[in-house]
This record gives sequence, C-alpha cells and structure tokens, in this order.
Amino acid sequence: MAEKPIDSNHEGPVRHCPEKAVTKTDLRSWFIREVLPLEPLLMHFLQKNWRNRSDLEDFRQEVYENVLEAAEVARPEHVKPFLFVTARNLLINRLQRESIVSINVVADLDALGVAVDEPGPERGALARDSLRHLQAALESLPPRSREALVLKRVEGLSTREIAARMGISEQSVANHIARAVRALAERGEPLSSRSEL
Amino acid sequence: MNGISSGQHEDSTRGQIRDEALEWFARAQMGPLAPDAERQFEVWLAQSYSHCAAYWRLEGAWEEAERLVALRPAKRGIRPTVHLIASSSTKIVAAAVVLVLVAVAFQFQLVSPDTKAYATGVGGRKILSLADGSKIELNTSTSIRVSANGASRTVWLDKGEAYFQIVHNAVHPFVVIAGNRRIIDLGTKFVAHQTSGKLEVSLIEGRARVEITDNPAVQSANLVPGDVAVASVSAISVARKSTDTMNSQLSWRRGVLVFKGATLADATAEMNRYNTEKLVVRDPVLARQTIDGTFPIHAVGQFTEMAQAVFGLRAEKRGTDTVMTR
Repeated sequence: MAEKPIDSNHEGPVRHCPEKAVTKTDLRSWFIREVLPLEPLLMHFLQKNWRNRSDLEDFRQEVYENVLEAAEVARPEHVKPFLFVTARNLLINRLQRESIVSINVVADLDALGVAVDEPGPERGALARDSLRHLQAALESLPPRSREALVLKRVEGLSTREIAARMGISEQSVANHIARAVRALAERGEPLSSRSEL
Repeated sequence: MNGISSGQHEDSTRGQIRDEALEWFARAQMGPLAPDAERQFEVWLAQSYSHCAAYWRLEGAWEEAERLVALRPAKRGIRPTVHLIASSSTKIVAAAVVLVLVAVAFQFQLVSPDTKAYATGVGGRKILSLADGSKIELNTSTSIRVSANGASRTVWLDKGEAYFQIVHNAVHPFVVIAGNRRIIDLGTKFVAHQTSGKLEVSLIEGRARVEITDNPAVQSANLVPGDVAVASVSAISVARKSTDTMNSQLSWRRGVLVFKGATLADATAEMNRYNTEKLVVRDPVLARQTIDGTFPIHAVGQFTEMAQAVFGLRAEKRGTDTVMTR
C-alpha cells in the first residue's frame, strides 16, 4: 500500500479531505494518537536527508497528507514503518526530480530501525521523553504566551478570565495561546540542537 | 482574523494552510464558534488532507499540553502511569465467533415456554453453555433471555454485556436481539454491550451482521473481525479496533480491567460497573488525567491507593462512595 505512486509536486493541488473524515473523529484521533508522537523521529529523518531546511515544514505536511489519505482507506497495521516509507517515497521522488542521487535515504531507514515495529518500548520511551520535552518547550515560550497557556490549560480559566487577569483583550489571549500551542507542536524539531541526540 | 474565508483555496500553499489553521485554532479559544463560522470552519477543514493535518497537529499539541497539569508544583508523582500487575497478553481462543453486545434497557416480551432468563448482579460473571456447544459469558449487571429449541437460537440482551462464542449452524442462525437491533451470527465470536441507548458489537472472529430490525434493508452492517459497530435505535456506525484494544476490552473475562490511556473518569466509571463501592471524581482536571494499568475487577482499594500515589490526590470515604479530590 505504501508503494503506490505518490505525487510529491510541492506546490501541487492538495487532495480533498473527505467530509467523512471531518465528521468522523476516527481518523483525527488515530492521527493524533499514532502518528504525531512519531514526529520527532520523522523530523530527524527529514533533516538528515533533505538539505533545504526552509521547506521542512512543507515536507512534513506533505508526508502527513499522504499518510492521512492512505489511512482513510485503510489504517496501516504498523504506523511507524508506514510513516517512514511514505516519507522515503516522497524524498526519493523529490531527489529524482532534482536529479540528486542519494543512496543514504534507503540506508537511513534501516539505521532508524523502522523496519521492525516495536510499538511497546518505543512508545513508552517517547512518552517518558515527551513530558520532559513538553516542560522544556513550555519554559522556552515567550512569557506572555506561556502565562496564557498555563492559565488556560493548567489552571482551567476561561479566555475571558485570562484576559481580565492579564489586562489584554480576549483576542490577544487567544492569539497567545494559539502561538504557544504551535510552539509546543514544534518541540520535536530542533533535534540538531538537542544535546541528548 | 479576517484572513479566514470559506472560499476554495485550491492553490493555497502549505504555509498558508498552516497559518489559517492557527487562526481557526485561535478563534476556537474564544469560545464555541457561531453556527455560521462553524460551517465555514468545516468547509475549510474539508478542503484537503493538508488542512486536516495542519489543524489536527495543533489539536494534538493542545491535547498533549493537558499533561502540563502533571507539572504543577504542588503535585507529587508526575508520571500518570499505574501498573499493578503485569498485563498478560490475552489469547483469543480460535474457534467460533465472539460478539460483545452492550444492551440498553428495553422492554420487549416475546416469551415462549422454552425461554429461560439469566442475570448477573454488580460484579457478577456467569458462563452459559448451550446444548449446541455455543457459549455465552455474562459480564457484570447483565440480563439475558435465551430461547434455544430445535428450530431457532435466539438471545435477548436486555441489559449489560455478554461475550458470545457461537457454533455456526447455517440452518439455525444464532440471533441476538437488543431492542430494535439484531445481531445475526455468520460463524462468530463477538461481544455485545448495551448502555445508554446504544448497542455496541465488537466482532472478534468470524462474521456477523448487525441490523436495525425496523428497517434492515437500510440499516445493517456486515462486520469483519476488528469491527466495532455502535447501533443507536436509528443508525449504525462501524469503527475499527486493534487486536490489543479488543483484548483489553475482553479482559473482564479474566477478572481484570485493562486501561490504556484511559481518563480517570472513564477508568473509575468502568471500575464502578463491577463494584457496589463507587469511586467518584467530580474535579474536571482530575477526571482528565490518564491511566495505564491492569487492575483486578474488585480491587477498588488498590485502584484508589495507586491513584492517590500517582496523582497525589485525596480519597475520602463517604458511605459506600470514595470521593477523589485534589
């Protein structure tokens, strides 16, 4: 299933997200639960194999598009290999288009150990790390964003209450929180700067 | 926020899509969207998988941020993971078809002389062996009626949950009835669970069909192993579950409950199904904490102790209730 031709046209038409997927929360929760936790690994893989840092986010998004499209039809039994095969296919496709030859891509897949799926320990390790990373990400947020997020998510205040407490508009609170959440979502990315890797 | 529109963005770049996702996410922070905006949002989200990916990624981070609660300075025990006993992997006996049915209370009386009633109380479990070799295992608080004569094999799931291991007989199909819904075994192991007006059928092996009897032509679903059908009185939806999840769901047959990332609210509700001593969690933040672990069905005390240690919560006895607070 992962071997189907993948259109990696970077600016190309994006595929329709079926109504079904939107109303049915199934695909969404699968994506959040099974795919997103693998993002740090995915970004690590993409960074190693794609020199153009400026479009890594687009690349990642394209991988997710392909994964979601395939998963809507049938959920892969082993998510990790499926994710990386999808990423590899896109990468190969792109490298071919740009006439860059790279054998490393394939070799790297093996190096990552994604051929064998061991969800138990792997996920356990990710879970253990994630709280620590989450905390680190929280600490690196701009103070106002951090304050808004903590008041909302940890203290459970409403946006209105936070606005009153921080002395800013509700819109500003919402923007602070959204930016904070985006920053948390990105926490898997600066792998190159992480000492433990 | 005015960059958001419901128009087609066929040529949106992925970066734009991410920006739009962020705007929608910020809007959702201001409270529920007005109906108009809600529609706009749905149109926006449905445009492509790219839109879904961008928005869901933010939602994933948002859900993840819930775990920050664990970092509250006053709390002990940061990792919300509980392991009481090692969960052994359940082996599903390869044989017939297992159906799990969840039935909601309904009143249907089609009692014939050879219909027998069986029931379990809170925390009870009972295994029935039928003459044809089929087995029915009743979970806690369950009532069924069985009519198995030469001509037909029919079970009414009046309340609760049961595991069916059916020996297939093409001439005499095995039928489970719950309200206006019917499960027809096509050679099957399944679990049926009826709660709050919904019948949930999890197919473990073989094949089975779920129908709404008022109109089987329109409302029916053929299940394959791994399918979980949820049938209300008027509609059936089918989702897939992993073998692991199915096995966890059947852990009551081994006298244990297996939780994987269950919220404290769900886990206590599940414990309460089996015990007269009820656990009460009213604090919404506490209720959202998640638990992994395996607990003996009746080990309310152990469950409470572990929850105390892991979440740093207080547990107070009030009559037969144990109230958990921060």
